[in-house]
Amino acid sequence: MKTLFLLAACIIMLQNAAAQSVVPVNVPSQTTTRTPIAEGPNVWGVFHGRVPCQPMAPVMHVTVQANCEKLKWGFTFYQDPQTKKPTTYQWDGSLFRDKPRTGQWTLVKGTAENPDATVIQLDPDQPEKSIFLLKGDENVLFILDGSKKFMVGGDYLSYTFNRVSNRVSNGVSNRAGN
Amino acid sequence: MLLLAGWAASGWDKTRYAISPEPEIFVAATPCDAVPRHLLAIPTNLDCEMIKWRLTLRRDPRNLGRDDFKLQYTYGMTKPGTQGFMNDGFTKEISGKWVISKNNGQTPGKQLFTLQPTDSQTAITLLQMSDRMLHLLDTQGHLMIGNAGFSYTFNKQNANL
Repeated sequence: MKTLFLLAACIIMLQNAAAQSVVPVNVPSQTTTRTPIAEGPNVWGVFHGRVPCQPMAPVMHVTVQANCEKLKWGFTFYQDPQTKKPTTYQWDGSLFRDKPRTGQWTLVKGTAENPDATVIQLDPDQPEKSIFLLKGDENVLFILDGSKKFMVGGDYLSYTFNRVSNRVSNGVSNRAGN
Repeated sequence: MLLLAGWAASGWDKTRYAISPEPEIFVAATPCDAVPRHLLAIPTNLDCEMIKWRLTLRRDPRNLGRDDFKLQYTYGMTKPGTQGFMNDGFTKEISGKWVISKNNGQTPGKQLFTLQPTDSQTAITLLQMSDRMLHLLDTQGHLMIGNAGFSYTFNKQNANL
């Protein structure tokens, strides 16, 4: 009886210790698209997000309708499976419903405020249509304006894109890039 | 003239008596994932998909190290076709002190803003991406990862006016 009591006490103590050491997970969310997103050794990552429409139009050198409030986009970045070097990208969603925008991408250094920051440049071979995204880390990207400055959103939308996955990860150790 | 001379001699310190600068306000709409639920003590079993944050940061030049913050937040399920909540959501407010520290991490950013709520041991840390933008960090110091709908970026209110 005494042994059973001690055993029960030990189990309760272990459960409490486990509960106290639980760290909430911060991992890419599962995609909400109907079809699975691209994955494999030739894919660096897929990033989804929504941005304010009107301020984005001049950055892209396009005109949008006056009632355009937000743009829902997905970026798929491909890489060379062997060298891991950037190759092509596909840009899906608003403005590109009929035909995704595609092109090459590369990594460059420096924003208006930080010369060491890593920046993704879309279409480096066509600078007049290049779009820049600051690589916050492996999971979060921030759109920059033509001067490579952060674009500032409001209380509902930002200019941030988040890595998404085909399945829900189950732990901190599954963080992409870590 | 005598009055002025006496006033100068009394050691009037313009800096010491300077009026506090206007508080800075940052706003955000974020997912309601495990980390913010932990930070804001939102029940894990409550249906919640969005949190709207309004963070007021005040610096008090008269009391160095005693800067305070106020965080108002509303959480709940989104109301389709609007930017609001079903049944207006749940609104709460916390306050406390905040400190600035150097960003020693690998993530590009200027400084770390750490909020220490008065009634909680759980600190909230944001990375200052620019003067007009912050981003929430997780308890390990990583950028919080949002989803297709919402991100963890805090934008300075009226930054584009």
